[in-house]
Amino acid sequence: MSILIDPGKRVIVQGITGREGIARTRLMKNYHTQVVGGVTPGKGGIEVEGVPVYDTVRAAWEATGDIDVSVLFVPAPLVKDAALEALEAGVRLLLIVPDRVPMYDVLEIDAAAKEKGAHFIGPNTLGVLSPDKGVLGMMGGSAASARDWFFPGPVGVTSRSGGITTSIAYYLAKAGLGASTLVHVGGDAIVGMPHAEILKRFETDPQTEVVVLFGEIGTSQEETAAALIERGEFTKPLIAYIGGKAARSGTRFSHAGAIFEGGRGTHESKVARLREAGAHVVESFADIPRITAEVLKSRPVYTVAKPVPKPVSQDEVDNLHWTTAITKIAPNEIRLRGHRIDELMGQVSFSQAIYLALTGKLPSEPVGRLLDAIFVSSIDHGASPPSALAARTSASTGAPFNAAIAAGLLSINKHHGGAVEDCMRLIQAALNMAKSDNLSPSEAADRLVASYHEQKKRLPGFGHRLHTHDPRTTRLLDIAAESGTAGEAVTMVQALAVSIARQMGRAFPVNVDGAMAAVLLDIGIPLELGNTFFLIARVPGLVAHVYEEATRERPMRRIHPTDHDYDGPLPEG
Amino acid sequence: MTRLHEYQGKAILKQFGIPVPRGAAVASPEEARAIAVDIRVPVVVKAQAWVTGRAGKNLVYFADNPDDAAQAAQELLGRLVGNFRVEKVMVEERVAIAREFYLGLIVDDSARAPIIIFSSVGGTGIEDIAREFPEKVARYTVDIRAGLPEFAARDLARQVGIEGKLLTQLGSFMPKFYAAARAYDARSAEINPLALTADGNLIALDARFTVDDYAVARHPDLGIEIAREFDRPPTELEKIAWQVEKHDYRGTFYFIQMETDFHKGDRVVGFHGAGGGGSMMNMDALFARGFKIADFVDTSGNPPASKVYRAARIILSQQGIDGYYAGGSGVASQEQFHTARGLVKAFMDEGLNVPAVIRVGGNAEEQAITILERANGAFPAPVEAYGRDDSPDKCVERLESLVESYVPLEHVPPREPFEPAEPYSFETVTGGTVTYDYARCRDCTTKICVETCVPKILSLDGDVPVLNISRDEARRGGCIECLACEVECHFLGNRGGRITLPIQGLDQP
Repeated sequence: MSILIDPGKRVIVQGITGREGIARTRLMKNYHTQVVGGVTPGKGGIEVEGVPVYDTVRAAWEATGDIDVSVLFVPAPLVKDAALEALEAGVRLLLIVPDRVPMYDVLEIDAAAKEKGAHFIGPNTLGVLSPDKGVLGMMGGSAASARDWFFPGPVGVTSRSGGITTSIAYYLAKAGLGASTLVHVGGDAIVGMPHAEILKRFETDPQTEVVVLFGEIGTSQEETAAALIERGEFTKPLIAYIGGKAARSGTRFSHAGAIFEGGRGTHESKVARLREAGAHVVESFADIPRITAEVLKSRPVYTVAKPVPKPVSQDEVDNLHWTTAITKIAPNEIRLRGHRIDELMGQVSFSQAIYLALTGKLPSEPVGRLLDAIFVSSIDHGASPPSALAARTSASTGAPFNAAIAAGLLSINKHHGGAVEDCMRLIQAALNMAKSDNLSPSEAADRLVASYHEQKKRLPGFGHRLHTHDPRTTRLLDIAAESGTAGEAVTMVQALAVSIARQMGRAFPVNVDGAMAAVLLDIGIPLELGNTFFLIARVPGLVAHVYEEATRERPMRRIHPTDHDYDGPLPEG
Repeated sequence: MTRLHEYQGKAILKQFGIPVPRGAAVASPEEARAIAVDIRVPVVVKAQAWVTGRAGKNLVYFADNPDDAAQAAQELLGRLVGNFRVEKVMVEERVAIAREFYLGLIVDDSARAPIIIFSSVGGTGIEDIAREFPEKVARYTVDIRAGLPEFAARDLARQVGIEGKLLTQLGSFMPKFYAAARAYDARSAEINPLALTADGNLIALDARFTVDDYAVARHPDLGIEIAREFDRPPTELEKIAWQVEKHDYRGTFYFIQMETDFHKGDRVVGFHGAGGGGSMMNMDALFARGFKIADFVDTSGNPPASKVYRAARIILSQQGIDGYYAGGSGVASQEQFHTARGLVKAFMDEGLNVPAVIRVGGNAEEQAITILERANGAFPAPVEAYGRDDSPDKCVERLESLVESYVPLEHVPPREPFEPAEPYSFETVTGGTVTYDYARCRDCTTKICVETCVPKILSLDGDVPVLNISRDEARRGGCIECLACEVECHFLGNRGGRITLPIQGLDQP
């Protein structure tokens, strides 16, 4: 971030055809500034440095679109008219480079700017520069020197002397400290944005961590800056140097601003006020880089307004270190469990990739086909399951996709879609029993079912509230058999079903949860992940319900849980 | 800030309908007598001087008859007040005063607006009264676009306890004062005392105006010679420098003499700063080494080489300086080769006879340093140039060392004359003349003038340089007086170019 200028700002130059206008348009353009047009009355239609010239600001606005900033290079007596023209056209920031602009003209520009909610920098300003982001005015002189002298960093600079603005930034850069934005507020007694205004901008600029201020005798700018700090409106560290200590009262050294006015404005008054406010006032210009570096090193102490994370010790850092084995991200490289993502793409199915992500192993194609079958089997089960109802209910109240789908997922629990893991545990227990007691699958199944029956415990994975022969179960077990992935778990789940029917006297066929549990066990899925396959499978179905609810139904309708019909395509024939 | 005398201020007030005592400013006792005769009442004779509390300083006399008035004028005229001689006295009718007020205006930088200050007590010591009795002082921030409305003026009077007819009188008086201050671009203005006469009328007994320097050109009727505040009358050299500044709006040229009474060996140097802040830095370094500066000069804001040239010649015209020091912030944004060429031409034209150190760091400094150091040998004394990585302290140290070792020549030979056998010339924007001697140009192998001309207004016509714009365009500013066609030609060409840049008052006509 920067203040006042950035590459997004659209800039025009008033007085673009003059000696300075041409030279500094070249500077601004070559230093990333977006100069969209220039204005010189009577010269509309030509180009300067590839920038189209217009007769009026309004013409420039109409031809080029919204203008954020106008930089004025017109002779001092014409500044007022040019500034009022830009403000009237809608420009909200002016940079007035010329000096010797009559004071009352500045007051009139100020009144017009206030009315429009606009601001102006200067008059008599070298400009504003943010390293690598842009420049307004003539700071740096040429893009080559600006690039040579400045680089981006945490230090903001606000100065009442143009030459000092650049030299502060240059000597900071030599000391290894980069700058956020450099602002020459202007050398005159009345300027549009005095120090305090610039400090307010730096306060909210995340890049700026510390500000260097160059003040001078005369005006109330430094005193106002001190008051701003005391009111808590500027909280970053401030390093200040006040020039003009040797100046005699009554003698003016070219800056009109350096004039004594009453008690305030003296060197002593400015130093004292800034020190009272807590600024670091340095005695020698040469101390600025060193003090700035020291302040930056200890800056968390000063930044009270901005929450700063507590510094972390090396021990804590070591303990905080952690690793992940799922995906490696490096520049230009993404590897899922060691496999390049770009190589997986187009080669493996989504289901194989899911298996890889969950287990770390790339499954064979038959396993992939089986997983596809699992996901397809559970993709949707109509409008009546609680998850579909919850998702549709949420969608009907205006919830966005993520919220409505989450509502559906949140209602998938122990009693809905939550049987896979439990069934896997049941099958695993039966398998363990067969193994430890050296029993056949049906013997182990009989014993386990009897035990459940005795304890009046429900057997997860068997029976269905609607289907007596769930088409999904048969197909899934067939695929498992065809693909050669069916193993002892599939055998066991079938043995359990037989056992239940025998002992209960009534058929409780393997339902889809039970079938999934068996095949997942056979392909080596950990028990804990069982239910997630149902979650993964059901998301697309929920998306379809949410989308249909949002596009086909009116908001806040009363959704009947069972009284609904299917109106989609019918089976062929 | 440009200060006006009482009589000038009163003339302005009168113009805006504010009553002032009958009278006039005069420069001789005879004129004073004539005015007193004319007024035919007891008069007051006041020295026109920029001090406050004149009565207490014996600068105000009361005279009951014309002879006494002449006598008072005699005593006051020519008296030294501060650094100024009293050149005029004001002879006015004496007014019977019932009550005194204070009315002032100041442009406030934090409000960015004029502030009207009115006090129910006026006269000498208003600062103390304002401090001790704040309730007697009221202020109003003027909306520049609305001016000072009568209702605001009445309320100012009300705030300090004034009522009745006087309140309405002040309500119409104060806006006239504001209008006068505004019309004359006053940075500050005051009427103190603003008097209520015994017969119930308001009248301005004194008037002080300071006019914004940048707006002085709008008020030719004020007859201001130099739009700048001095604490003494301007010197001849300052008047010469002002003419240079006034007639060339490109960049700044500020000149003020700091020392006039000094000799060789007094460690007084000619000082040529660039930019206010940078100049102060370099001055501090000079002071720290025990140097004094003869002048304070600032050429900045990207002045043309010709302006730097004229500044340098004015600086060098100060007899008795031991050295020449030029320096800015070190990281100047302006193209420094302009400064370098301006200095080199001045050093050649004047035959530099004191060592010079130039801290020329900034934009294109490498080129600037080359131009300066290459010139060694073209004049008696040495020149050293330094860049942004060389501190003012180091530069001042170098100057000290050069000053100690350099023995000035008794007689400086004048620069080789330029008598073109085959002249081609054109005029420039500040009254200069550029001349090429085609006889030399033909033998020139580099034609460096065409290559280095900054505005690119030269082309080759066969083997001689010629303007590629009209002479008129060149004179209206097409030639920016970059001086490359003389300076570069002197060192890299066949010395076929010469530019005369007259300085009014310094060069004999």
